[in-house]
Amino acid sequence: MEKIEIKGLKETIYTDTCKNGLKVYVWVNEKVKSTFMSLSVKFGSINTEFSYNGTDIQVPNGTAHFLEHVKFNEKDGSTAHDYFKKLGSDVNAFTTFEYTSYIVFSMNKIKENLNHLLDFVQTPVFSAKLIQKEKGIIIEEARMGEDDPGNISFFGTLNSLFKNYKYKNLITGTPDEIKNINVSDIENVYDAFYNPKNMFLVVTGNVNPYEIMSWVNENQESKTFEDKEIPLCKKEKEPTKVVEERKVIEANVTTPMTKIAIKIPKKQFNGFSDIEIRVLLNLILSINFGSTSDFNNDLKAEKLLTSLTSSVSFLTDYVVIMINYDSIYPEEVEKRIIHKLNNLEVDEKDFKRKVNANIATLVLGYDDIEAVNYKIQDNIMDYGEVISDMKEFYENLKFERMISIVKLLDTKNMAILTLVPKKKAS
Amino acid sequence: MEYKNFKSDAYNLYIIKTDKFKTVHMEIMFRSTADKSRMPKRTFLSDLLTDTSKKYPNRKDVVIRLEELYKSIFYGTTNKTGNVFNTIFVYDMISPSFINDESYYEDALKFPFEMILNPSVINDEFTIREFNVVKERMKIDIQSLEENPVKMSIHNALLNAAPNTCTSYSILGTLDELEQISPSNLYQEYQNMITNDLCDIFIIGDIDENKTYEIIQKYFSLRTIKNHEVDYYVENELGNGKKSSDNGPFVQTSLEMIYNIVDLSFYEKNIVFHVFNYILGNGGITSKLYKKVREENSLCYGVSSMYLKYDKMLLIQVSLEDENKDKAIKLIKECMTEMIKGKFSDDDLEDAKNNLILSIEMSQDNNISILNNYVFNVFDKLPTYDERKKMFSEVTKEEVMELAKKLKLNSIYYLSGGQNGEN
Repeated sequence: MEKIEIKGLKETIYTDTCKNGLKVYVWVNEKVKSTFMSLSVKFGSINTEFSYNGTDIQVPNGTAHFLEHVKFNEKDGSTAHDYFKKLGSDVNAFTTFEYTSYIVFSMNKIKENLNHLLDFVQTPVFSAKLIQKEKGIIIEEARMGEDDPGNISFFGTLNSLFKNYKYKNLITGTPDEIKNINVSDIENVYDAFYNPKNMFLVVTGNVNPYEIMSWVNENQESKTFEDKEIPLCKKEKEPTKVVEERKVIEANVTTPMTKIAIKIPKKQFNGFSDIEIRVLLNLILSINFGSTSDFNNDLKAEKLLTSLTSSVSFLTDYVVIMINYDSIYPEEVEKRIIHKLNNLEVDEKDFKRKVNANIATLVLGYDDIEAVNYKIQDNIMDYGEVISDMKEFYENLKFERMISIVKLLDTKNMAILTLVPKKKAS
Repeated sequence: MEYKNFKSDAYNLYIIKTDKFKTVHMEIMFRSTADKSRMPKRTFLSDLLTDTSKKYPNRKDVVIRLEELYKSIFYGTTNKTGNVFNTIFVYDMISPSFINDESYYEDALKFPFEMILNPSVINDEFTIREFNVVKERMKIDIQSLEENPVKMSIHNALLNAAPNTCTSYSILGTLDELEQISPSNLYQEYQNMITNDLCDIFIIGDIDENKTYEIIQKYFSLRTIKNHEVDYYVENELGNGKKSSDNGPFVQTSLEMIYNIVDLSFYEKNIVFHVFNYILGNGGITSKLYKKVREENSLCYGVSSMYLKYDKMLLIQVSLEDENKDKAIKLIKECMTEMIKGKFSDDDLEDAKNNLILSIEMSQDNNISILNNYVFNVFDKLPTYDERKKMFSEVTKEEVMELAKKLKLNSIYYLSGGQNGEN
């Protein structure tokens, strides 16, 4: 096994790769009794068009999430939930834009839990009857999203930003899309993507990494896997310009909820690594719009808004900055935010304090086994590897880099979406 | 883990010393008997006292200081536990063993006490700027109840089930009640809280107990004498199973079924009920409610059965299509009848017991769970971890069936949906 030393934090992540291509990562915490394991597949909601074995395949939106649901069915008519309940473990799963993860939280019988996690995910059990049964459940899940203003706002904004990228589609699919999913769609995506070369396992807790690896190898070598290529997902060409600059939707909100989203081609930040872009943009947003900014405090003192948050996301070739606020004066706040975006300020004292605070929290990042498991998952999906030098990165991060990236930041390509109370559409 | 208590007339300090975690977690609690008129003010206070103080006059100053203290976290919350409301100030800081600075622990630990004991007040009134910021936030929170169908439905269901007791009191209050709060009457409530509420501090982390006590004594100079008790349990009248509803602007219908729980012994309250509830609905997808309502009939994505221990109630909640609500009610009633008749297997019982025992063990890997366990051990004589594990292992099917008979349907409420979804 290879050891990845997390520099400056005295932490180690163990990693190895099975003969069939399954990558394994292990982090040890000897102070706890429990174990958290995740088996992730690099197949998410946006992967609905792909080439595999010389064939172009298209499946309905919502298929990745649907597969996640039906994956829990087992050959004998039971479910994975039934099995893990017997062991006293919690099993669950989630689907994101880019991957699906099956997770088990257990206290004991680590080998049994690990083996069954691998077995139930790697054993296809699909039938038209099981698919039909699950449709009603998933439709209700999708309907929950229709009653959630945050969900409406988020996906509404993505629809305003993207013409071709599939991030704009609901991860669950809409009720009509869910109804159109059939067993051959499920079988096709399972066959294509649930390939050990396209998966990774993360185990965190009070474990022996060498023992874990030997169990995983034993499990994988007892199965036969075809040596298959990983599917080639269609990469949509996405125009730079936003689709709709301004949209208003009536929803169940009592105070208008607004998102200002900026779509920036990643190539605009030429000369900056992905990590630098992410860290520096988050620092800039925190300094200008966060709780330590006069801008944020003044807007609240003037009763123009009660909450103001921001985020940075990487969506294929674009960086998306979102600024979110609730206000009964959305136009006035919008004016001020746009003015601020065009006049971003960076202060070296703020920069140093926030960088030091972030370094301190790196220590806390290696405390909870579930949090560490998700951190490793994020690293693999965002960067293709575990990032071992974040402390060094922060310590070497210069204020001048922040000034440089501010100069590259063009915030004009913007989509604004406001949810208004149902009786008051503009 | 080592437990150490320090008692004084003004407050009690409970320390759990462990090197399991990298964070030191502290909760400073003010407790009082639930009083409808005071609760909105207490919610206001828990927000305001974490936003501003004499030394840190606004939110910006507070957050800057927290960042300087290695990104410590400090917030306040008010909640209701049966007949008691609690205003809790929560503080998380990096363990001093990771910081190479001798003054760090005292500097960090004194911060929440500085905030609580030195509010930003002029002439016995909270300063108006920060007062107004919090007031606006609370106004939005009160209004936003109408945005969440489940919260709104539960709120209305409890109003129907227990109109005359604190079970149905709202922590936030109404917009009218919020308008009645002024900087001066809020300051009076603050003084009432500091002077008269029971005060307890719980802290867990890799810390020196005696040093911790010395620092807290130095900076938390409460001089009041508190020698009263609070009673957590609420006596609610039995309902007659009546159905009521409202129309909501939502896609899904939110259905609540509330049961009164009658005459439970200490053992039933703390042990048997959890086994019962695990089998019924709290045990996830393999539980009875999930199997019947979701898996066999595909009526919903999730169904929950919440044990409101101190209100002596069980609340079952499900979100679903409006046309299926009567079928769901029938299925839920069937589940309850099956529990009385013992229509659950020995395996179901053993799985429930084993899982509950394992959850106790798992909870010992989480600092907040450990602290909460200690809180209820102190306040409500919750048996220790080992005592509970032993008692869970001994629960019998007959005890679960006997307990099931003690649930009486109080009321059914639904907030009807059926609107077209927005997308």
